[in-house]
Amino acid sequence: MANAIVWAPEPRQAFEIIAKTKELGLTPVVLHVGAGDAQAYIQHGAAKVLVAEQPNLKDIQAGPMTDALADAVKQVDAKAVFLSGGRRGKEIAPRLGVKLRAGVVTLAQKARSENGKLVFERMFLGGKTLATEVPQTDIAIATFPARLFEPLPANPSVKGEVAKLAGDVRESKVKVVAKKPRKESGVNLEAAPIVVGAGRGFKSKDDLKLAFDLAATLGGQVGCSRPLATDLGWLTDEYWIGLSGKEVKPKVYIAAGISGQIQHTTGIRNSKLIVAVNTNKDAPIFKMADYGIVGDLYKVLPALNNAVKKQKGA
Amino acid sequence: MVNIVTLVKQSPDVEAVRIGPNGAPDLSAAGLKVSDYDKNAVEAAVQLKEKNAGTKVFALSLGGAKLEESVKEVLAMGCDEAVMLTDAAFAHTDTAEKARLLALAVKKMGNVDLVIAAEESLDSHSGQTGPRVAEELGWPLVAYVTDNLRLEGKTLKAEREVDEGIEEVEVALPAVITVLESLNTPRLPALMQILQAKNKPKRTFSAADLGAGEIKPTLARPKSEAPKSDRKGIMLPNDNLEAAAEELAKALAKEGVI
Repeated sequence: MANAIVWAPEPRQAFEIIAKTKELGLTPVVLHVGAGDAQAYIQHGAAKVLVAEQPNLKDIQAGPMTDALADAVKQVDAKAVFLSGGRRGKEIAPRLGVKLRAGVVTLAQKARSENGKLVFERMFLGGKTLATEVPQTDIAIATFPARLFEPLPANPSVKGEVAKLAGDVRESKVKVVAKKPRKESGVNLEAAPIVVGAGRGFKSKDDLKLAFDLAATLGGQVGCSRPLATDLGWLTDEYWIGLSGKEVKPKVYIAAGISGQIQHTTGIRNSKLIVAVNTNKDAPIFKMADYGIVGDLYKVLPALNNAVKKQKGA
Repeated sequence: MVNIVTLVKQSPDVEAVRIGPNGAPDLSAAGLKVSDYDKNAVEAAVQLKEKNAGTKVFALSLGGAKLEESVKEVLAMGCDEAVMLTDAAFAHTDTAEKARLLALAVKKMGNVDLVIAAEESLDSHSGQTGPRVAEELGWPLVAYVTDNLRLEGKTLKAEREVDEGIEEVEVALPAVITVLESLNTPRLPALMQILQAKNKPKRTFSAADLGAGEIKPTLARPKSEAPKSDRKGIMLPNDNLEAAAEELAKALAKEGVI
């Protein structure tokens, strides 16, 4: 079995990708940068962990990370590199593609092994299609969105090899002067079990209370479509769901006053259930909904809030 | 004196792409446009020009026969010159090869200090072009610039948003940056600027001009079709919204999700 290098800034994302790597018939070798528990990867299915302690990797900037991953590929003669689809992975993967002359698929939604080749599917044409992409190079590189795969349960009795990453990595020419949190925090849309999505159907920022109230009753979070985060600026980017925003896959996504532009729906496509509330019966959102109500969200959301309270009490 | 190259992609108007009966996309009626996010890159470059005397902004674009229509749009926004890469040989490139060609053009243009790209394109959104061009050139990359983009001499400073939060960074030029939509609002050119754009210098490079050698895509894309919807599509009666809401709450409870 050929080796595949796995790297993600968060251990949980690495665990997810380890599980998928094994499903593809490849041997997961994790690159671990800095301190932390290397054995955790092994307990979640990694065959080997390469620990990188090179000081130039301290800020995990794309340049030095590209070198570290290329070194890891060389060290274990890997045929694939799988990275987390977050911003870190997405800036590193293409650079590594140049360095290794490898085909790169970013934000793959699906992956399979077919006749000895890795075959990926990703959203294309603004989300209108799923494109099948097959790297034609000796090494294939892909990034996967977070929470696409389930990690394997941890097996504390498994032991595996932990080695040092050999080789030098370039110094980052980009200097990180300061790090700060985002302007607003506490919203973790990707982890929310239920998301109420607010769109242009809301007439004012204050009215978003209807969405927040329903989300609170359901134990969920509020998200929004592009115009509310950009043009109108009612909510920050953290709430923005869509192609350029977050991708969510809750148990239930409730689209309130959202027409269903591709820009938005690509971010909700993997939700287990989709509920749509819109006054326009022809809104595209109804085409991808499990349950739809053609009606005014100003009436439907409070009614649903009451009905859920009643249901929960029942 | 800083020379900035903005990367501009001509993309199908994806919202207008229709899906045919067999699930395949029909691009014939969609038309071509400047990939929306590239206008944020152009806006960023033009704002830097406005604040830094002696700065020149070039639009660099690789595309087909109608490329000039899109290039004119960004010239009207304030780019000074356009460089177009067109060649029959470019019809079968992939993202990786396009990035290599763009990097070759940047080298050929010479004296370029800064390349600004959008984080991703409207139609492909793979986000590969900016980082690939950086690695092809051997230049540092500042991706995901969201705020406070500025030049101090030949040093670029900016805030970028990564997974964990915001990083304030600085880098000595030359460099490549990618910008997010939240950085700025692209300007709408006035009629006078649109008219003036016609007279701005445009150059065209072929594969031979670039010394491109063999063009060998790294990715095959054998299929692109609309995902099949397996949604239930149950429309609840809306003559009584309270009743509809109750029915929905019951359905969600039955599905085991609330």
